Amino acid sequence: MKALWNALGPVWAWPVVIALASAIGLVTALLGDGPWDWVSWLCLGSVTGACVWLGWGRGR
Amino acid sequence: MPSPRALRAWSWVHKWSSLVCTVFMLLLCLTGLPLIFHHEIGHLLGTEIEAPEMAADAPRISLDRVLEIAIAEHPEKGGMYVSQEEDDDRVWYVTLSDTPLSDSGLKQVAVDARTGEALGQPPLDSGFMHIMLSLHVDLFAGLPGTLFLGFMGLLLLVAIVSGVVLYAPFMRKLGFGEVRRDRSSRVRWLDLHNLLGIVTLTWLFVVGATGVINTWADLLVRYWQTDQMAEMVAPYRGQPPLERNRLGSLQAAVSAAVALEPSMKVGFVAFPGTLFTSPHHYGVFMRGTDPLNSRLFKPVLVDAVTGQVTDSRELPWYLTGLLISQPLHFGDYGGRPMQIIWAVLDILTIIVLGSGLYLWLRRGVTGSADAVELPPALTGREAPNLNREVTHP
Repeated sequence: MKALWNALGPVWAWPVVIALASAIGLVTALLGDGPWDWVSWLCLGSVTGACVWLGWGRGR
Repeated sequence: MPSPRALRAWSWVHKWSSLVCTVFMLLLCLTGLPLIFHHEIGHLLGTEIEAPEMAADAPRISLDRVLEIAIAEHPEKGGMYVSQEEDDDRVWYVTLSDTPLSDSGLKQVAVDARTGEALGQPPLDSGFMHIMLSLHVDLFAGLPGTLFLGFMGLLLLVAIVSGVVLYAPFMRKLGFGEVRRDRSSRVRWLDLHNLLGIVTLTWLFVVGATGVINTWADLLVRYWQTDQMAEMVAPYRGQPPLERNRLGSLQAAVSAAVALEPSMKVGFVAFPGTLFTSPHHYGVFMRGTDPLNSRLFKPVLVDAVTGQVTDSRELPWYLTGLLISQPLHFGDYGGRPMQIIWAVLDILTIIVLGSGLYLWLRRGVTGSADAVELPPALTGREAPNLNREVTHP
């Protein structure tokens, strides 16, 4: 397990988290309104925000 | 880690699948951007139909009257569809055509469901949004254009998958999200391409895949005609099609459908002979009222002469899949915040596409310090042994 983490973790940990957050965000708003929408906005919003921040925000 | 040989193959796949579809994907991203906000833009342009405020329980007029009012605007045409927006039952949109299967010369009249006032005629084949929609859906080339764009969408999915495979070898020496701003512009854009690509991955894959599914909508509905619809209307087989002037009451048909499904709302009604029903039936498409079921339709077939319900079945899986894939493509199911997120992700996708194109155009820059940043298996300039550490300059 540790070997697997060492092999894949550094490169894939964040991409997997982001993929899961995107998937949850895409599905929840389909299932309901109100709180479901909020979860969706939070998930997709943080994915989008992370993207903009990493790409242009930091280190300036 | 894939072998160097495999990586080179993936690299070839990524390059060519992207190159072929990039121009079309850029077009789809650019035209898709205003489409995300089509209601808002329609509102600004004054083409959006606005119903006057009245008491919510104001009585509704008969649909037969609604149809008469609409046809009075275009006396040479006949009814094709009558529909309502999911969240606004104050307006009926009546689509009129020369024949039930016309695909040009269509007119739409919006009629106030309470007063019978003709509120306007949303332009179906002119205007800015029509140009955006046509470029996005079929390049003004009908079904062949749609299927072509669907094929380009499949190439995009191939490009995404191959891009993910290539992500790891590029990132072995970098932390997640690292963009080497102090290096040449090619390195900077490579890092940005990898970052934006991997973060927008899931969203773009879902929007791409659901877009591809949407290109098959016409074919799926035609298949449904020969499949479930054919079974439902089997008793009518061989009868001559109904003339438009012999149709019975539209209101009676809708009332019969509502009586069958009292917990549902009318989504749209297809007139006999149109794509969504048989030559002898009003196809009344009912939708549910909760967020998920409001996207799904249940067709109720009503004999267009007698007003009797003849059959009603759940949609088959392939049409349910199509209907579920639509909101996932449009981003219209989570209010304004979701529209904004969709727009930002759309712009980020434009940057991924543009940077990919830029990296390809600058591919000739080898022998410079940049080339060593590429995995050796891809440059082919290093012995194909990926276990060996690449020296970092």
